Amino acid sequence: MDRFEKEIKNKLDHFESMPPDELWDRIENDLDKGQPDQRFVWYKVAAAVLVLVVSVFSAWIFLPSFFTDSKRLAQEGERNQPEVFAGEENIPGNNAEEYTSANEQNKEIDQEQQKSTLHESSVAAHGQGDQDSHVGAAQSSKKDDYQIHAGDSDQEPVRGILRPSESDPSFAMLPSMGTSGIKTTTVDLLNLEEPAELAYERREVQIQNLIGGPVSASSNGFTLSAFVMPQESYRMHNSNSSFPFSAMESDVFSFGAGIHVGYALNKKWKLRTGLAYTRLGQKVNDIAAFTHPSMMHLYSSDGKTVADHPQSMTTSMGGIRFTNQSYYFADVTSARIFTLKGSYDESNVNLLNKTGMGLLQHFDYLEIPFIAQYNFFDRIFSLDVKAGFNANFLLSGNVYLQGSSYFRPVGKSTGHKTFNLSGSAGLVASYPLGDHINLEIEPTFSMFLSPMGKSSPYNHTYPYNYSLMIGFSYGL
Amino acid sequence: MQSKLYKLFAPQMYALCLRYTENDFDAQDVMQEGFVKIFSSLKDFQWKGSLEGWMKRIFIHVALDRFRRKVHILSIDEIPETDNFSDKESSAIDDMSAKEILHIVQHLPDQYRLVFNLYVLEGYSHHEISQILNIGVSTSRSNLVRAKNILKEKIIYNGRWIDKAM
Repeated sequence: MDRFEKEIKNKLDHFESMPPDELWDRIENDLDKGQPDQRFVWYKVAAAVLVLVVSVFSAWIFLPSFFTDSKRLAQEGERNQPEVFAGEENIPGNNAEEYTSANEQNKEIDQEQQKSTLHESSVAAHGQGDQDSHVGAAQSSKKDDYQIHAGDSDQEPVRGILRPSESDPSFAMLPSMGTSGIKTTTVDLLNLEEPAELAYERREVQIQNLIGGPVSASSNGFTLSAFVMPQESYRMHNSNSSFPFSAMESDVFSFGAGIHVGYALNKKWKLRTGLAYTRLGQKVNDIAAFTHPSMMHLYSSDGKTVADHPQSMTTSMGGIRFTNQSYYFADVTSARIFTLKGSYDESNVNLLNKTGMGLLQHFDYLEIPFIAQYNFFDRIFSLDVKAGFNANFLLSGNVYLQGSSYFRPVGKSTGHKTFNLSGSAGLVASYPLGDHINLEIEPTFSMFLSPMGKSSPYNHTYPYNYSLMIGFSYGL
Repeated sequence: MQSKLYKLFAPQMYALCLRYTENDFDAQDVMQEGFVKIFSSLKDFQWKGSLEGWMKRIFIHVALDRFRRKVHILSIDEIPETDNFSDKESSAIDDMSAKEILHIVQHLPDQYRLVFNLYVLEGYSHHEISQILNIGVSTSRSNLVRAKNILKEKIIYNGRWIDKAM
């Protein structure tokens, strides 16, 4: 390298030049285009999980016959061995004993003699005038009858065999029939028409219906529930800020809604997850709003048009940036509002029309709960305690001006984390409305486990809410 | 993190981009494309060398890619370097600001500017430059000589102009 090159190099090596400010904006835009917003990645994952869960449970709802029929066919296949029916002594009787025993414990069922009579009548209607002869015929031709049904299960029974169905009230009464002949008929039905465990399960439900016990949709397997959630929300704030926030802010009423999927581990324990929309927030008191007189440039005494709204304020739940330029805001009792352009003409404020008092600061969250539930009471209705945590994803933080007859968006809240965890606990009261549907009412308390804001004073604020989840659950 | 990294390196990298380009607009385009590539591949950076050196190489590659698309470097015969750079002209460099020198470098023909930057300011050999630009070693040497001759003429002219003004 010669002298000339060295001198040029020395001159340029340490030269630096600041690029224009807007260049970073261009780079940031390019980066945004190239990379998906991390927040939406989470939403997409949540949505995918939800779609998967709903799909699986939809299959359970809409294809029950597939699962049931498969199981039944498999069991029938096992029974379709000639030696099983080689003699009457091979007819399985254990289940019949169970049913009979269960029946004896429920004397109300025994009192339903009218229905038993109906059942007997239906037997007679199949061409068997005499009950004993019917039993005898059924027993003597058991193998033949079974083969007919196994070959074409949709066919009506030819003789001696009853086809129990959900709509047949006599089915529940079958075990109550006191004679041995009828009991034998019951054995035929249970063994030939329906797997014993399914019949027992269904019968147990019917017995519970008769004696007034709960048919809790959550007592077995999966449940799907949908609910709305009126709630009162506020925050815990413990910073040493110079503003007496608590004296100038108050709780706010709002709504949430969602769907949950539950899985009963056993009769007592249940796990739940799902997706919910919930709105937290607070009311910011002592803020007066004024409308602009026409053509008055409120924030610029030099008369230039204001391109950006210059006002912002501090609350315990974050900063607020006012975006609606048709309002001027003033703090009645403190100095929470900042006017960034300090040159506005204060005398003009007196010309303004006062239009509203107080702001509503709302935060919309997407909530994914992970809840454990324990049943401690199970009679006509059931009571559970529940506890767990929620993953909360911030969707938006809008600020509204509230008047006596209007509710208008005027700004955005700033300085918040987009993800928070909250703890949750409450009661679940469940009342059966049908075989599968429960009405559920759940008083619930939730509170953030970490501060909602990124920096002081918002990093001392923990939102919480009392809610009453009201909805229906469907046992799958 | 990206914003902080940008603020830390932007002045230095922008100066580099200016050296390789003809004007501010082209430099900003290189800067934009370079930082997007850096942020996209930052996770792949092995931390075996200096981050600054790695970033510089990315910007140089971006600048070269731009010129590969529009510049066809001509092979020219080797030419002798003019020997008209005296102490007086050397002092002219001292009198000039870095910005003025940069301005002259920016106005070199593209192919001369590339070779001059790579050889004088980045320290590549002619052999390396010939591989980077896919040209002959002699072409690289010739381009460098041409670039230096033009620079010397302009700097001397600039010095005379300063003398006259004074």
